[in-house]
Amino acid sequence: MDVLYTLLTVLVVLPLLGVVVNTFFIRQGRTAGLIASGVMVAAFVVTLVILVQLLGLAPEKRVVDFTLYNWIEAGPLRVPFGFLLDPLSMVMLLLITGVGTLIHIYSIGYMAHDARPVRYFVYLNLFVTAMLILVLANNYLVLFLGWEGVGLCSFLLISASFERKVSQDASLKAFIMNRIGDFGLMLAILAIYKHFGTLNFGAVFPRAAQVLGGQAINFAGGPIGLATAICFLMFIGVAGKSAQIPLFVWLPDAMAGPTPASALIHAATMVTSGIYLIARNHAIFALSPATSNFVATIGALTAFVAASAAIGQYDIKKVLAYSTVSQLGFMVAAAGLGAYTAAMFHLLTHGIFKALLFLAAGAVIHGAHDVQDMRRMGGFKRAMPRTYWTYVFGALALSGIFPFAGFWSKDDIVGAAFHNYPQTGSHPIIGVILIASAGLTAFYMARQIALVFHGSQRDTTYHPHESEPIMTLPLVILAIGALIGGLINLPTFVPGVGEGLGRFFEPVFVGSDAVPFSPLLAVLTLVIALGMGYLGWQTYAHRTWKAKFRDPISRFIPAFEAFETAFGSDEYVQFFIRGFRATAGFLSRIFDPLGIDGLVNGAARLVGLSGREVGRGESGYLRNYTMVFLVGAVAVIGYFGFAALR
Amino acid sequence: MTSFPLLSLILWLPVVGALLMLLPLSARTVKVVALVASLAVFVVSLLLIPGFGLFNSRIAGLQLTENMAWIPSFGINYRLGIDGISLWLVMLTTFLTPLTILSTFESISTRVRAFEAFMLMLETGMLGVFLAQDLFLFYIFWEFTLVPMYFLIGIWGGQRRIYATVKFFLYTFTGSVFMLLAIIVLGVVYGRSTNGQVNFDLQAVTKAIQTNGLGLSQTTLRWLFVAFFAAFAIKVPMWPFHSWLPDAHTEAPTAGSVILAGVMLKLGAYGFLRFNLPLFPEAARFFAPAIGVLAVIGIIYGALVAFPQKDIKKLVAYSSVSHMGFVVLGIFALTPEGVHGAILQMVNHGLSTGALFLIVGFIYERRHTRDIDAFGGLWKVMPVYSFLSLLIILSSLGLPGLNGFAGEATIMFGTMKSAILGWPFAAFGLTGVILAAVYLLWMFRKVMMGDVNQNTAAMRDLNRTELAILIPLIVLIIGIGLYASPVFRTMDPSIEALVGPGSKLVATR
Repeated sequence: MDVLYTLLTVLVVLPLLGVVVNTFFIRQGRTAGLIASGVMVAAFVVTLVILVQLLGLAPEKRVVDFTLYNWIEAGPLRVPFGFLLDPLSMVMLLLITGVGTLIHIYSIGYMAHDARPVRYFVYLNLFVTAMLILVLANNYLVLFLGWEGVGLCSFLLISASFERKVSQDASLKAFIMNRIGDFGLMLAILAIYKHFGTLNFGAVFPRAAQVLGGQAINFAGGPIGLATAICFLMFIGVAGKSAQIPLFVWLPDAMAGPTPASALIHAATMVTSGIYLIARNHAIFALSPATSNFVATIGALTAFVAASAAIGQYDIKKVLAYSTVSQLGFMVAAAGLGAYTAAMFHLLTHGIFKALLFLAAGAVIHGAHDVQDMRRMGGFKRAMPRTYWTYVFGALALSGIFPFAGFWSKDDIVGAAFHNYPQTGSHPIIGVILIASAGLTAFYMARQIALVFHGSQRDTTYHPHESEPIMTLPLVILAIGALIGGLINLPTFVPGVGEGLGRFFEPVFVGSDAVPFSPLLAVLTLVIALGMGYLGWQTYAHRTWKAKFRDPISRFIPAFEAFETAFGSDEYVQFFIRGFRATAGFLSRIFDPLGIDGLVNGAARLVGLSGREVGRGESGYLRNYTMVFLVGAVAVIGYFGFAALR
Repeated sequence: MTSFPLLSLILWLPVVGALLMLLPLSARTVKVVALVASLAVFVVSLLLIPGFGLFNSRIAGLQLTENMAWIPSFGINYRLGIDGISLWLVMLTTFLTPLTILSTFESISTRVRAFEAFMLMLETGMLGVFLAQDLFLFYIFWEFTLVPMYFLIGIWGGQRRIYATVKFFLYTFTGSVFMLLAIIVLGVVYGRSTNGQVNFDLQAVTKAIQTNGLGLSQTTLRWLFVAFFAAFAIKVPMWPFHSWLPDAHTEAPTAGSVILAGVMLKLGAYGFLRFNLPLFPEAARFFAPAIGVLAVIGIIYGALVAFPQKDIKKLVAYSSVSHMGFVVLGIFALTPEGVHGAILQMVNHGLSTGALFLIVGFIYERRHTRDIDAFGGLWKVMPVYSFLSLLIILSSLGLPGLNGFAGEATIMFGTMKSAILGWPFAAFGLTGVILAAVYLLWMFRKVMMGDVNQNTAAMRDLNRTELAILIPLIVLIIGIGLYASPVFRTMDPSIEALVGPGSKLVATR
C-alpha cells in the first residue's frame, strides 16, 4: 500500500516537475520538448508499475484511498488533498500517460517551427498534472481543482497564438462556457456537502441511497427529488466539459489551438472527464432514473447533431472536432443508460483512435504548410503514405468497422440502448438515433479521406510532404492501438479474453453491467457503416474539382448549410452575448452613474453641498467637514442631554 | 497588564516612522526610512504567528490584551486585544504596507515626505481599528483612517481628485455618524445598568448584551444594529452604497488604491464580525436574508458593471464591489464555514486586488494611460509581467489551487448550509464566479493578447523593484491556495464561539 502512495504522488509530481523546469530554466524549444516528453515517459513507466501493483491485489481490495495533507479545514468543513486509485482511475491513468506521452513526443516535431514552443510544453505538462489530479481525486473539491485546472490549460493552449483574433475568441469562449458548466458542478458539490457533511467519495457513495433516497426539495413551486437535482446540476458540468448540447459550441472553435493539443485535450482526455464524472458518481445517478434518461437522450441527440455537422465541414480539424462532440455523445448516452463499462470502453478506444486522427491531421497540416481547408488538398496519399495509412486505420476504427477498436466499443453502446434495464427499461429510439449517427460517422470519414488523400491536388501552390519520424512513429503506435484496442473488452463469447475491462471494473460498478452481445445488432450496424462509408467514398473519391468548390451533396440536401453552421448553434451564443453586453452597458453607462450615483450626489446637494462648492478644493472641504462634524456633535450632545433628562 | 505590550508596539511603530519624516532627509532616504519602518512593523507582527507561542490559536477570546485608563470621566479606556478574527487582518495590514511603500519608490516624486508619513499614519489607523477593544477607541481609529487617505487621494490623485476625495470622505463619514450615536447609546446604557458610570468596554458590553440585552427592547436593538450596519456597509462597500469607490480608486495614486482595496474595505466587513454579530445576534438573524440579498446583488451587479469599463482601474474597482459581496454573504450566512471563508476571503481580496492595482499601476507608469484599448500584445513584450498578471487574475476569478477559491468555495459551503440563506443565495452568488471569468479574462485579452501596437511595442518588462513587490504576493496567492488549513485553523476557536453550535447566534434559532 505504502508503495502505491509514493508511486501515485510521484506520478503527479513528475509532469509538475516538467512545468517548473521548463518555466524557469529552459529557453530553447527542443530542449523543453525533450524534458516535457522525458517526464511523460517516466510518468507512463510509473503508471505501468502502479498497474502491476494494483493487479497484484485481490479484486475487492483494489481501492487505494489516502490523504497527502489537509487542504481546507474550516471548522466543520474538512477537505483533504487526497487521492483515490481504483480500476476506474487506473484506466484513466493509462490513457492519460500513454496517449499523452506519444502526443508530447510528436509535439517536438510539430512545434519545431513555432514561435513559443517552451510555453507550449509548459502548458502541456501542466495539463497532464491537472488531468491526473482530476482522475485521482478522492473527494469532490480536489476533483474540481483538476476539473478547472484542465480548463485553464485548455484556455492557455487555445490561445497559444494569441495574436490571432480567432484564438482569442475561442479561448475565452472555451473558458467561459466551461465555467457555466462548472457552476452546475459546484452547486452539486455544495448540495452534497450540505446533505452528507463531507466531500470524500469514500464516505458519500456508500451512504448515497440512505441520505438522498426519497428526499425532495422545493424548486419553482414543485417538489423535485434531491438526487435528481444533484444529478442534473452535475450534468450541467458534464455538458460544459464534454461538449454536450447546449454547451458544445466551444469545442469546434477550440481547434484554433495547436493540433497536438487538440489531440490530447479536445479529443482524448479532458473532454472525456464528463463521462468519467458520471461513471464516478454512478451511485448517485442510479438514484435518479429521470436524470439518467435525460442524460441518455441528450447524449444521443448530441451524437446525431454533431455527426450531421461534421458532414458540412471543409476544415480538416473541424470535421474531427464535430466528430469528437458526436462520439462524446455516444459515451454520455451510454453513461446515461447505465452502461458504464461500455462508456469507459468507448472512452478508451476513442482516446486512442481520435488522438491518432488528430495527430495524423496535424501531420497533414504540417506537411501541407498550414493548409487546413480540405478543398485545397487532394491526392496526398502519394506525398505522405505513412500518414495516409495511419489515417485510414483511425477512420476505420472511428467508423466502427470490424475488427477495429471502435467496432467493439460502439457496438456495446448500441447494444445497451436496446437492452431492457430493470429501472429504466429499453431505449429503442436512442438506439436508432445512435445507429444513424454511426452511419453518418462512416460517411464523413470516407468523405474526409477521399477529399484529403485521393483524387488530385486541387490547389497546387504548395508541395505537401511527409512528416519526420518523430511525428510518424507515434502515429504508427496509435494505429496499432486503433486496430487491436478492442481486445481489452471483447464480448463474452470469446473464451478467456471476454469482458476484460468489465471484469476489471466489477468492484467499482458493484457487479457487472455488461450487456449481452447481440450478433444481429452488430451485423446491422456494421452493414450500415459499410454502406454509408461506401456512399461517402463514391460521392467524393472519383471527381475533380477546383479549389473552391461547393460540396456536391449541398444540391441534394437543402439543409447542408445548417450542417455547415452546426444548425446555427453559434447564433444562440451570440444572442446571449448581445443580451449580456446590453445589460452590462445599461448598468454601467446609465443606471450606475445616473441612478445610484445620481441619488448620492442629489442627496449631497440637498444638504447644501453643490458640486461647484466641492470642486473649489480644500477650503470647500474644510467648511463641509466642519459642518458635518458639527451636525454629528450636536446629535451626540443632544443625545447626552436627552439621556440626562430622563 | 503584566506582559510586554506587543500590540501597542505594532500599533505605534508606524507613527514613530512617520515622526522620522520630520527630519530633513532627501526624498530617497525618506522612502528607505519609511520602508524600513514598515518592514519593522511587519517583522514584529510576525511574532503573532501562532508558532511563536505568543498567540494561542486554541483560545477563542481576546489575547495579548492591554488596558489603560484614558478618559476615565467618560469611561473611555485604551484597550487592545487580538483574537482569531482579527489576527490575519492585522497580518494583512503589516504585510501590504511595506510592499505598497516599495511601490512608491518609482511612482511618487512630489512631496515624498508627506506621502510616506501619511502612509505610515494610515497603517496605525487601520491597525487600531483591528486591535481596539474599547468602543470609543475603535471609533477614533475608524475616523482617523479617513484623514491620511483623504490627503493621499486629494494631493497625489488624478484629474478629479478633489471631487473623489471629498465624496469618499463625506460618504463614509456620514455613515460613521450613525455608528457614533449607537456607540454612545451602548456606553451610556451599559453604564446605567451597572454602576451609573459610562463605560465603553467592548467585551463587557458584549457580555452584558448577550445575557440580558441590556434591558433594551428588540426594536431598539435592531435600530442599533442598523446604525452600525450603515457605517460598515458604506465602507465595504455594499450595493447600493458603493458609488464612492470607483471614483476614489480611479483618482487615487496606486499606493492609495492598494491600501484602500487591500485593507480599508475590510474595516467594514470586520466591523460586521466584531460588532453587528456578537452585539445583536437576534437582529443579525432578522436582517440576514435582506443583507444576503444586497450581497448577492452586489456580486452580480459589480461584475456586470465591471465588464464594459474602459478604465482598467475602474474595472478592478467594480470587481471589488463584486468580491466584497462574497465576504458579506459569508458573514451573514451565520455558519462557521461562511465566516471562515469570509475572513480568508478578506485576506485573499487584499492580496489579489492589491496586486491587481499594482499591475495596473506598473503599466500606467510606463504609458500614463489606463485605457484598456490603448494596450495589447503585452504577452509578447512583457512576458514576465503578463505571466504574473495572469496568475493574479486567475486568483481573483477563483481558480482552484489559488487563494481566491479557498475563500470563495468555503463561503459558498457556508451559504449553502446556512438555515437562513440556503441554496438560492448560493446559486445566485455562484453566477458571480462565471461573471468574474468574463470581465477579468476580457481585460486580460484586451491588454495582454493580440499584437503589439505603437503604444506597447517598446514597453519593457518588470524591473527588480516591481518583481520584489509582486513575488511575495504571488507566493501567498499560491501558498494559501494550495494549503489553506493553517490559516483557517487559527480562526477556528474564535469563530466557533461566534457562530458555532451553542453560540448566541445559533442558540435561539
